[in-house]
Amino acid sequence: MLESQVKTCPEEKRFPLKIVATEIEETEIEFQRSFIINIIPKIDWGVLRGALEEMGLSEKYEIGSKVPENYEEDETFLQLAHHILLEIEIITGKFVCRGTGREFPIENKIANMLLTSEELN
Amino acid sequence: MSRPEKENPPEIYYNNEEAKKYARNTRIIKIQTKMTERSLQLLNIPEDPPENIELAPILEKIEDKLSKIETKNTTENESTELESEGSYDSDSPFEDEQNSEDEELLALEQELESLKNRRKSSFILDLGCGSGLSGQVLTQNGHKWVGIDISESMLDIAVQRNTIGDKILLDMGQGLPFRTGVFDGAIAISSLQWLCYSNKKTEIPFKRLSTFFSSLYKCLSRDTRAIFQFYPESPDQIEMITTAATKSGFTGGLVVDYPESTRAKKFFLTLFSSTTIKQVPKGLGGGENLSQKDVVQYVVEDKYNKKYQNNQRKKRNWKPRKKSRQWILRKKERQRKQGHKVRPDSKFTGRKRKDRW
Repeated sequence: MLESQVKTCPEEKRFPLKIVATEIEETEIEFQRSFIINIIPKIDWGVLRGALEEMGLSEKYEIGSKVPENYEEDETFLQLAHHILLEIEIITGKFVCRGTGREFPIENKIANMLLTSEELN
Repeated sequence: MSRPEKENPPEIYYNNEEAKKYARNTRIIKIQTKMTERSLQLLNIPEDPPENIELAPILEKIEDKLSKIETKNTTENESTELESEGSYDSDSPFEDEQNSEDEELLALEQELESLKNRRKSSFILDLGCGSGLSGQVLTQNGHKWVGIDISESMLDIAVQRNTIGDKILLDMGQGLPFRTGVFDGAIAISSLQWLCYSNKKTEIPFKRLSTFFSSLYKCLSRDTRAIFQFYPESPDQIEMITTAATKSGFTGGLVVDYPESTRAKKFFLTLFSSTTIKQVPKGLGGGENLSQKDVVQYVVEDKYNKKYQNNQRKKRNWKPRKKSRQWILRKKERQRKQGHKVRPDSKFTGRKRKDRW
């Protein structure tokens, strides 16, 4: 859900940021149904799919191009969504703005999105 | 006690040393935890309907315990009858087992109660998350969060402590890079006051605050709240903050807990991102929702703040005064950006000229 803040970047190209992941980690997090059910409507599913592809995980986790109807009752789908959204972490890599090519490095799981003063004006 | 935000900007103040000290200091941990819990309260997240919570495993455990205790009770009754002749050994291992079973049962029942009272698991933005102290409280309460901070050292510690939340190195005053309506709420523990000082010549705090608040308004979903626990230095500062917030579309007010006590007094700026007018919650310890005037009174009472006395005039002094040196420097910077030929800055720029008339 991050979008590029670089001021020279045109509005349409700000979201989504391109993901380049060099090191990924999969952790275990407690599953909470209500949270997953709530957050799915906020996610752009097509973009999520694209992100998985960029990270090289699209074969491991196959997700359709749309969220299934009645997803609240589909337990397997909820578990899959939980895993993709919460349990996959990028340790090293970068985010790239599609509009300007500006790279935001990710190191030690921390994304550095600080902008220089020129980029703000 | 001097204010840390006057010494250095936060990314310099919280270097590796300071960050380590901060994360290990038990007093700070205790206070920050308490303030986070109070902020969560003020966030007023709707309750989770019971069918969403997995109560079954806890209920099973409780039933297990109850049956174990019942069997123990019957066997114990038999044995005490036999022992009534001799001395009653109160340290018998039997009783200890009984007590620990009871304790465990009590703990399970408490857990069940807290699960029932649980708030809906929400997606929260932790502004100025630092070493993850506040984030851990959020996780304990079942929420997921994204934490931002300007100090790399503090965030490193948050990663070390295995806090469950995404961390981003970011300057709040530059604006938040999140999509519209992503978050169900936002909290900021002891971080807002850092935005009120700017060490760069070209950035004025009011502009940074405005940029911050408008980007925050955008990334919060409708009818949610943002709670800021902070340490205001003066009524002017409070006014600057609330003006920037209202400009960006927020409504709300300042909640003060324990206004009579110097030690326990805490300020929580409570902002609503909704179009309907909502009632600001009451502060603890007899505090009430304060109008601007009342806040002024409280801040003066315990600090005898010289700065307040100097700023008694109701001028808006968070923008540089026209024709002042600050203003001139900013104007020259603007002109340079527009491509005009501008004289270099020096110690003589905007100096006080001799009064000729």
